[in-house]
Amino acid sequence: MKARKRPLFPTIVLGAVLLLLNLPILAVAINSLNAGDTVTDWTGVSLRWFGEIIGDDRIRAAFWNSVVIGLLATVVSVVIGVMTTLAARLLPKRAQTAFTLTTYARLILPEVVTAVGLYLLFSYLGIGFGVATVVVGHALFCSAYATVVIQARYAGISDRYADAAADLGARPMRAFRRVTVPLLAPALFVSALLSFAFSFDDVLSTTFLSGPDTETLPILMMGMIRQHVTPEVNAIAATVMIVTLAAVALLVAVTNVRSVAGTRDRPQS
Amino acid sequence: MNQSGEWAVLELRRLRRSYGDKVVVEGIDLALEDGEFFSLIGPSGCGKTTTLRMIAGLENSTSGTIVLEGRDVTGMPAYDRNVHTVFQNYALFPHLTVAENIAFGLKEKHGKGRDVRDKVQHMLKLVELAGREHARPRELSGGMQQRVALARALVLDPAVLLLDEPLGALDLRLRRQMQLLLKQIQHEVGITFVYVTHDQEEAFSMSDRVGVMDQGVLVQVGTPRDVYGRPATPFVADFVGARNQLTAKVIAQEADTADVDIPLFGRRRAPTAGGLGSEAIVIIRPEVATLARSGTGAKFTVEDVSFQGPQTSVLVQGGAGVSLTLVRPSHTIPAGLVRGEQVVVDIAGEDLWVIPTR
Repeated sequence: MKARKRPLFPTIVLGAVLLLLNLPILAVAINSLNAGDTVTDWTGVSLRWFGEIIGDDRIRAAFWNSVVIGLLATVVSVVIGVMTTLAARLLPKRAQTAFTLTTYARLILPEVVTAVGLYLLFSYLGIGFGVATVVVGHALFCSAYATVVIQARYAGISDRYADAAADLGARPMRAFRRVTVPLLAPALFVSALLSFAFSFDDVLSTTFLSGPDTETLPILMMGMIRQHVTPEVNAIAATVMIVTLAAVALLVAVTNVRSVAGTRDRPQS
Repeated sequence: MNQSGEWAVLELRRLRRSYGDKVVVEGIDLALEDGEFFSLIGPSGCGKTTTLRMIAGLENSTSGTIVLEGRDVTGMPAYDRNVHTVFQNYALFPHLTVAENIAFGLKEKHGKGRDVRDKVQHMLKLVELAGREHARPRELSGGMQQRVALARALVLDPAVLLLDEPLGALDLRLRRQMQLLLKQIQHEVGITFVYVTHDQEEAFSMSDRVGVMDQGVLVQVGTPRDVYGRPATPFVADFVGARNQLTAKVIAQEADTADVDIPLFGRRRAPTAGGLGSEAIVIIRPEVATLARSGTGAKFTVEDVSFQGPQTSVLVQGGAGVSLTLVRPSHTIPAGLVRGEQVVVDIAGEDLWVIPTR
C-alpha cells in the first residue's frame, strides 16, 4: 500500500506561514553570532557580542531589573488571580458580573491609558518611581490575564471536590491546599508564565513608571536601536530567548506539570 | 457509643430547610438504629439529597436538630462530623492515586504512615481493588471509581455512611453487582448506611427500612415489605409500584378492616389502617389479582400482554374506565392470551389495602 499523499498546496502554505512567523527569531539568532561591527556587515561567526553584553554593567543591571520586576509582577498577579477567582463566587450573581467587568476592563483598555493613569496617581500621591511602581503597573494588566486563566480552570472544577474534602475532614485551608491548589496548578503555571512574559517585554507602562534610575532590558534595547543597531542587541535578544526557554523547560521538568494537570494517560492494565 | 441502645445512632428532629419561600425539606423526624441499612427514596426534587447533605453538614438546616451518637451536631461543620459521604459522581480527587484518595481523610485525622498504609490496604481488599492503588481515578471504570469512593469514606469508620445515588451512573448489570457488594460490605463493617435513591426496587432489595419522601415531607417509614404492602398514601403506593388504585365506597369500617364496594368487583372486606371517609382508595397490587379465561370475577378485555420471563405483565380494561396492570407468574397466564380477548379477573379481600382518599 502506498502511503497517503499529503495534499501539496496546504503543505506549502503551512510551511510558508511557519517560516515567516519564525524568520525574525532565526534572524536574531544568526545575527547574534556575527563577528562584525554592524548588522549589515557579516564578517564571520563569533561569540564576541555575548562576551560584550556579559561584560557590560548597564546591560546586566537592566537584565536583573527586568527579572526582579517580572518575578514580583508574576507573584502579585497570580495571587490576585486566585483571590479574585475565589472571591467572585461568594458574590451574588449581579455583583459577580460587575466584578468580572473590572477584570476585563484591565484587559481591554489601551495600556497607555492605564499607564498614564497610574503615572498621574503616583505623582499625585508623591510616590517615587522605581521598581515598585513598575511592578504595580505590570501587575495591573498581568493580573487580569492571570484571573481569566485561573477563573476558566476553576469553573471546570466543580464544588463537589471541596464538598468531598470537607466531608473527609479537611478544614477550609487544608482543603484549599490539598485539593483546590493542585487542581488549579496547570492554570497557576500558565498564568505565571504569561504574567512573566508580559512583564518582561513591557515597554509602555515601564516607560511611564520606571523613573530615571530604573532601566529594564526592553527599554535599554529600544535606546540602543535608536542610536544604531549593533549585533549587541541581537545578542541580548538571543540570550533572553535562551534563558526563557531554559526556564520553561526547567519548570516543566521540576513541577511535572502534566501529571499535576492529571492529563497524563497511562495504558490500562 | 450506642451499646446500650438508649439512643439512636442518628436522630433528626423537625429538620427543615427552606430557600426563601421555597421549602425543600419540611420538618423531618427520623431515628436510625446502629448498623441499620436505611434508604431514603422519592422522585427527584423531593428533598432527599438536601436531607442527606444536611446530615453530612454540607448544607445548613433552617431549623431542627441533628443528633449524632447522642450529641447535637446541628451547627457542626462537615469536617468535624463523624459522618462521611459517597457522592453521586464519586468526586474522587483526580490529582491523587487510588491509595492517596483513600488515605485523604486518614491524613486529615493525623494518621501515622504505617497505620494509614495498613488501613488503605485493608480497604482495597474489602472493595476488591487490591493491586490498583497506584492508578488514577480516570484510569478506572465507573464501577471501580465507585468502589474507591466507598473505600475513601468507609476507611474513616464513620458513625453513619451517607450514599447519594451512588449507583446512578452505572449500567443495570453493574448496578446489581454493586448492590450485592454494598450489602455484603455493610454486613461486614456493621456501619449504619443512609442510602438515597430514586429507584425503589434498589432500595427494597438492600434496605432494612426505607423512608419515602414527597415534596420535602417524609411520608412513610417502614420495612420495604411494609411500605410496599401497606402504603400510607396514594403517592407512596404509586411510587413503590402499586399503581392500581380504585376509588371505592366505604360500607363499614372496624379497627383494621373495612368493608368496601369496589367498582366491577363488588363488596370485599379488606385490611386498612383506618381513618377512612365515605370513600376510600383500594390498592390492588399487580401480583395479587388472578386472571383466567373463565370462572368467577369481573369481566375485562386484554389490552396488552408483555412477557418478561419469569413473570408476565397484562394490561386489562374493564367497564367504567377501570384499567388494571396485572403481573403474574408466566405459567399461570392462559396459553396464547392475546390483545382483545375477554378475561375474568378476581381479587381476594385480604390481599387488598385500603387508604383514605388524598
